[in-house]
Amino acid sequence: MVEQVRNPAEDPYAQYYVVQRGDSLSKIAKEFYGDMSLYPKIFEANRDILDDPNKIKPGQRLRIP
Amino acid sequence: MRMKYLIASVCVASLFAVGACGNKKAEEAKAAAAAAAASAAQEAQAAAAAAQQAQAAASAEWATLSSDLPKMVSAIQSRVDILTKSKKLPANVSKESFESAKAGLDVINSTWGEATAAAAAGNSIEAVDKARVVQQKGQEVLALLGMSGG
Repeated sequence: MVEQVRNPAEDPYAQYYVVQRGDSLSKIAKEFYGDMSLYPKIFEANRDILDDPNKIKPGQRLRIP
Repeated sequence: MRMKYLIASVCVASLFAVGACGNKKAEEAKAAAAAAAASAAQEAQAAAAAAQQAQAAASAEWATLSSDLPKMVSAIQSRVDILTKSKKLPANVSKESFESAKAGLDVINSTWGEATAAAAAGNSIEAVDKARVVQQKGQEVLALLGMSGG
C-alpha cells in the first residue's frame, strides 16, 4: 500500500514515496499522516518538482516530511 | 704464631667479603629500582599513546555522527510535528507508539545537546558516547513512527 523507496546516496532518514496511478496528495497524506488535510506538508516539501498540488504524475518521487 | 696469622688473615678476608656483598646488594637494588622506573615510564607512555589514539578515533567518529545524526533528528522532529497536527494517526502508528516517540524525541534532543556540548569542550569520547545513545534512540523512534522501513 505505502511504497517507501530510499536512494542510498540521499539523506538516509528522509522518507520517499513513488506516485502510483490514481494517487493524490490527499491520499498520500492519509497514508503517511492519517489525515488527508495535511497534504500541503507534502506539497511544500516537493515544490522543486510540483507546481500544483492537484497535479502529480505516476513515477514522481516525493519526499514525505 | 703461624696459627694467629692464619686466623687474622681469615678475619680480614671475611670483612672484605661482607663489604663486597653489601655493595653487590646495593647495586642490585639500584638496578631493580631503575628497571621498575623504566617499566613504569614505558607503561605511562603506552597509556598516553593509547589515550591519544582513542581520542583521535573518537574525533573521526564524531565527525561522521555530527554530520549524520542532525538529519535523523530533523526527520523525526518534522514527522512528530506533523502527526501532532493530524486529526487521526496513520494506520501503522498507534497512539501509544506516538506517545513513546514523542518521549523518545525529548530524550534525543536533550542527549544530543549534551553530545554537542561535550564536543565543543573538546571531549570527543564523551560526545561519541552520547551520540551513540541518540543514534540508538533515534532508530527506535523511527520504527515507532513507521519511518524505518523501505
